[in-house]
Amino acid sequence: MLEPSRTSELFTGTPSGEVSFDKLMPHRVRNILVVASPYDAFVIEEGGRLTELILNEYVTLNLSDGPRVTRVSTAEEALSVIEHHHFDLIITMGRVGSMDGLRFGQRVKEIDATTPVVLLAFDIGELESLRREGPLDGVDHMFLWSGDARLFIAIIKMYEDRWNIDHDTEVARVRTILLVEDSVRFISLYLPLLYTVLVKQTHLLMDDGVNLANRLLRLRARPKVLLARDYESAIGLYERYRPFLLGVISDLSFPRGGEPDPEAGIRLLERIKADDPTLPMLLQSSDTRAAQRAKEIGVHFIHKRSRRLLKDLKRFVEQHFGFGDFVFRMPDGSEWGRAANLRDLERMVQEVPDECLRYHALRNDFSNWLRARTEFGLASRIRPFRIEDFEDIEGLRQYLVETLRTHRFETQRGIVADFAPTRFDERSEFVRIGKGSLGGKGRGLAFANAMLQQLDLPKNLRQVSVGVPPSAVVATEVFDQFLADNELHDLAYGSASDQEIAHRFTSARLPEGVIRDLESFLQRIEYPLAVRSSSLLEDSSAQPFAGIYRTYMLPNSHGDPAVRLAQLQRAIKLVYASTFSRAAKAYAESTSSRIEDEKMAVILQQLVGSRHRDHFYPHVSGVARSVNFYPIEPMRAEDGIAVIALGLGRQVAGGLRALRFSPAHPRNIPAFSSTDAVRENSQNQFFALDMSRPHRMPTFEEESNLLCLEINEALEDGVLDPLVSTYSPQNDRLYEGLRPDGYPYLTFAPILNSEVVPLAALLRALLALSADGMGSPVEMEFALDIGEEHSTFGFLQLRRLAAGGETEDLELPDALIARAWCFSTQALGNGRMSGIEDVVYIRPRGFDAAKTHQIAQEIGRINRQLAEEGRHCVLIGPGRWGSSDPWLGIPVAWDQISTARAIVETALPDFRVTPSQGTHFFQNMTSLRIAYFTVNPNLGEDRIDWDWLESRPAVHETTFVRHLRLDRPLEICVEGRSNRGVIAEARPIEADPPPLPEIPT
Amino acid sequence: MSSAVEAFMEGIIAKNPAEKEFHQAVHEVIESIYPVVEKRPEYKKARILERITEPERVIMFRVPWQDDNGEVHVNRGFRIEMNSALGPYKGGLRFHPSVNLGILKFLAFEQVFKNSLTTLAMGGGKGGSDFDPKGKSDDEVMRFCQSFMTELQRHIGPDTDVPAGDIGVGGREIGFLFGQYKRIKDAFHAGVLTGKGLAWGGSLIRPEATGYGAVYFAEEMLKTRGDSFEGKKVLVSGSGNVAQYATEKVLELGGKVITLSDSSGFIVDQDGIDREKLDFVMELKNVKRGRIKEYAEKFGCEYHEGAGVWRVGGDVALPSATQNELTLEDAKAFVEQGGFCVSEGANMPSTPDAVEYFVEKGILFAPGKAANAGGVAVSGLEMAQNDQRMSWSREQVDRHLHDIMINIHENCRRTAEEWGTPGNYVNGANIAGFLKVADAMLDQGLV
Repeated sequence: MLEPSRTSELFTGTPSGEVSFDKLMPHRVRNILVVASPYDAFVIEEGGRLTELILNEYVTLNLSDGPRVTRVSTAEEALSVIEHHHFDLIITMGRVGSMDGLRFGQRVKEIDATTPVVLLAFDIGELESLRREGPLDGVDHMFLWSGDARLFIAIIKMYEDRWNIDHDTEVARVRTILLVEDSVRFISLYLPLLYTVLVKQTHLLMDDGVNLANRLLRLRARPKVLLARDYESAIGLYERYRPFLLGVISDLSFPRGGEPDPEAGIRLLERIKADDPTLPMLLQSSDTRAAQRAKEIGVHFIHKRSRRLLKDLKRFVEQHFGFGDFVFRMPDGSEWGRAANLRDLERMVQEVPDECLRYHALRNDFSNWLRARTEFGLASRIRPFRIEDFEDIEGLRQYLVETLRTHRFETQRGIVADFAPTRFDERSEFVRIGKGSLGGKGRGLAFANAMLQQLDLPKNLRQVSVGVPPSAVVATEVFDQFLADNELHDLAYGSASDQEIAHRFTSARLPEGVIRDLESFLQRIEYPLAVRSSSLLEDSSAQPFAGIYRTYMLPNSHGDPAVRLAQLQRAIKLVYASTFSRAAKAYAESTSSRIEDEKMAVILQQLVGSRHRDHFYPHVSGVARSVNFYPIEPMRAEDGIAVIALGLGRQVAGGLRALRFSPAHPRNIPAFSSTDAVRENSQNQFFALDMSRPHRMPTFEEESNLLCLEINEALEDGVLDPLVSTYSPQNDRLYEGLRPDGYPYLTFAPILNSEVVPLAALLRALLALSADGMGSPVEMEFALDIGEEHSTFGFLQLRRLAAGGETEDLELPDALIARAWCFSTQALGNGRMSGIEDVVYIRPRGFDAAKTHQIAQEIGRINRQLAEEGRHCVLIGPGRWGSSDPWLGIPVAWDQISTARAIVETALPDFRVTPSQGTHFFQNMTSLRIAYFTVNPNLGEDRIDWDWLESRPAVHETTFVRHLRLDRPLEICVEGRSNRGVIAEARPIEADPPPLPEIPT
Repeated sequence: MSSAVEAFMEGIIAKNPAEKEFHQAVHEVIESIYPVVEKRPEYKKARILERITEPERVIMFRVPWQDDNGEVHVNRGFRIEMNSALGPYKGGLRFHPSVNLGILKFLAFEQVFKNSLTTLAMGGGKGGSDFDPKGKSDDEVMRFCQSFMTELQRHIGPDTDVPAGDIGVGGREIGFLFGQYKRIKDAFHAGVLTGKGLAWGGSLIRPEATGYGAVYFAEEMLKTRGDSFEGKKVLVSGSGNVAQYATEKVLELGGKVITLSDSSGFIVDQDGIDREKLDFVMELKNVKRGRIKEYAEKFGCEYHEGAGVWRVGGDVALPSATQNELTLEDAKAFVEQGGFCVSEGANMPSTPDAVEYFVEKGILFAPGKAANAGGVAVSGLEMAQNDQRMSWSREQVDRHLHDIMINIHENCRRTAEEWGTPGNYVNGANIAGFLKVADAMLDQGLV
């Protein structure tokens, strides 16, 4: 709570009668230009959420006009718009069409030097590469997007505060908080938090207000935040606004006198302390030793690397800084009833007496009420009509009901509506439960949902209904609240085992409101559910946690709603628990993410498929990418690639046997070159949801209610006809479709060859649309259920296919190739890595395919050691890394190889290499820009010099694995356009080829 | 002798430069039959070796075709008509990027002796193309096959040259090739290709032939010692076609198969694999394509990871999995535990030193070229049915197959005995195959 003296000074120091609230904050951000690809914009706006957040803020402050957001996709478009229109603020992404955000900023300043330009980067890597490339003079501020939409509000507020501070302090003595911080990452983290806390506090205080004028004044008098990035500007701001200062939050180290000063924070706080010893001040630093210094000078301290940083900051700010129902009336004024929301209104309009309806219609009460609720569009549709326009009052009634109903459905199509028990029904496509972000996966899905509304498929594809399966997202603030309410932070960020965390989480309670929403959600649905993680960092293009977090499938078929509710709650809590699993923590460390930056939303999604006896599964699950890193003739990289399997997606995601094909060439299947190849490579098992035990509670193991079934189970289920070819051993021939005399093999030939369902054409259309919308290559997950007359294509996930630095055109010098100890003509990635000194390799001589589990464990141990030392390595081994089948490669999980920055898959005698296709794994590798080599000495020039490796001393070695630490760092280069890559020992600088574009390690 | 072989090989190498595979094959055959040639001056005089290593005809041709996008591709087609002393050229077509003249000559040369050994009227040949079926659509494969046959048709015929399938050429390709041949010739010459669909001239028992044949051969070997499969413990490796049908035939003959394997490990079922269990294996391997381990789980028998099937202990071994699966150590372990009969269902499953050990120890050892000739034999039977315009029943084909295997065995046994190495089926097979061709060439004069 605020200290009493300051509270009173803040809110009662200015006589309420003297200031009219509409005189406060005269300078507002009214027009914003956002320069972003459709997907970037969507990520920021989250399907309308941003507009809603802004409007809430504006309505609360009783301002009638919120900012208009204009979005363009490219810098060129933006420059042309700026020529003719004025904007108060321009927000640009790092890459906007043909130029980067910095150069775009420069061009803006040439047109209008006064308009602030803010650059939003999606990750630190992008930020740093932009900074390196410059120029920096076109951009006023840089921020780092963490997936929290409130950053956007914070940016607006920051500028408004800056523009209004002189005025508002003068007329209302508005309070101020000084924030001194030079790290973009921390500014991006603090600002949204500070503003949220401030608005919440202000709301709390509202209830204490004695009258309307006083309450409004208090709201308008929200403390302002001033940001300084160096000592001199901090002192300048302090001196200027000293009488209004509520407190100071300062970093320890920031520039002073143009030079970095590791003690600048101490100097600043000491200086202020000397003037005002009671002023609350907070020092924060990543150096724990600074805690002692803070104590010495009597200021509070927060450790920047603390896993509880955000929580601590919030507590500090909280401790130290300190619209209605539609009332139906009869013409005599008596109350007939009240509507709290649109659905109530729609229902009651059908029931109210004629005279009551007439009474309100004459007074324009409906449109006025709607307008006050920011339903401006709906209000304007009702407003122009007069009673005389209808034959009778019944006609008016019908019109109102129809307009309200249509509006309800329209607003739920393609956008993220907030879940409301009274508003939700099975037709609702995408709803949000609770506040906060939808998370990465949720955002992608919401975007896909919005995008698909505009999808106009050619006639031949219309036999398939395409859409995002009805989904509800439990938003991230529910996660925050769950952790806070149940005091789980210490456990979560500590070193407890995964099982222990899961146990404590499942024993904890979800917020009551959420439980009620879930209960009401379950009452309205009767289908099996997929409960999927959707974290803020997951699937962000630079830091994919894809595959790290858990997904649970629920039959949702128990007769007792209480059991279904308990199952759902438990699944959600288990997904929450997986946020803090060892694998997740290890992954966060490997990506320099912080686990406490992570927030988890949970998607409750209808499982696409049908029930066959006690099994529930779709005919086809798959992953498709708009770019193919392994194009084999006649495929081209840009044709894309899809991997499909019968049953649930676990088969594809786990890298198990599945069919890989290019949607542009669905009849050219490289894996099926002969009948033997079909027998060897075609899928022989599939996953289904077990519907036989509806009472079963989800357990820690996410697959506990999945069944791994054999193909003949699908045969009995009667689903194989559109999916298989029948092999006749007598004729040594495959016949499309299911035949009685032979063995069915999953070739998907009826779909791919005869287009029983035009899957390939559909994938082509959707990949093109998605890649266009996202402004980058994409990866999508999907499921297809084939009906007798109509088939359903469910869009399960959409994300950017991570690509970084790929635009640079790197050329491998011949000299480098000549001296390299590893050369591949099938290398992935693009750019150059240096600084790695560790090589971990599986010895070809000692290799035993029967021992791959043991080898995986040894690799895991070395990886842990490297992670502790903060080192990265080159990892070399035979077959498919991360293979689920231990005979095809080393069955490692991602956390066992997270320190690898170059991975080499080699061929060994009797061990044929086919590049790994475990899709989640692949996403991690491409996102982390790991150079990926396939070395097959049978392919011409490919080579790896085992003798050289064996001749180096090892820091650790076993029968199977050697770990080398080389005297000289390695040079790892991949020439992306030719897929050629090398690994060599670095040479002295002068012998080096000209510098090549870098891949950050 | 060795220097004579070397001198001969020099000539071969000079005449066929850059055909390493061919050199190797000729070297192996000549080395094994040179003692025979030494003792038969008429062969030398007629220059049988020089003639037998020179293809009667080599056809090399352009195969242009269009892919689904209308792009034009050009491959090279081959047909090596190696030797027709015993009958029309007979041998597979191979579509694989590694195909070249040297490889096909090597394969055609070996085919001559394999076919000879079957005692059927089949000469030797081989053909194919460097076309890679990988990643090609059905339509593209069809267009390629049609273009290939458009040229090949002028060189083949039921009485001239009868190609079959090989790597990259299965039922689908044979169908497309036959369709184009029929269209150009405007005649249904079923006997021009083997491996056809059952409905249009193919034969029954094709999948079973190799496995059955290896068992029939073993049965004949056992008979030479007055023995039979009755009550014998049989070790079978592999669990594919050959292993499955070998097991089936052993069951029929009263033996007890106690092992099967796959690339992961092997099972040992001392109770023997009965019909019901074999049906489970067939379902497991053909439909479910699961691991053999599941057999052990299902029937509660032993399962061992990795190799080792030959060390289990049994009377008869039928190596039916893959090349070099039976090493010298395996051979010793097998023999030391009382094993005395080996019939190779796979291609060269025993390492050379294991073969040497078996021969040395007087084990009944049937080399693959004789024991697994069942597959080739059924091709011959398909031609015979086509000639007669008849389709035989399973029993008829099986009976003919049985007879052929009896003949092959007898041929090998007798030849080994005649050439002073009784019981040595390796020698018997090598020499018998050669003698039949060489004598036919002598008979037919200098052609």
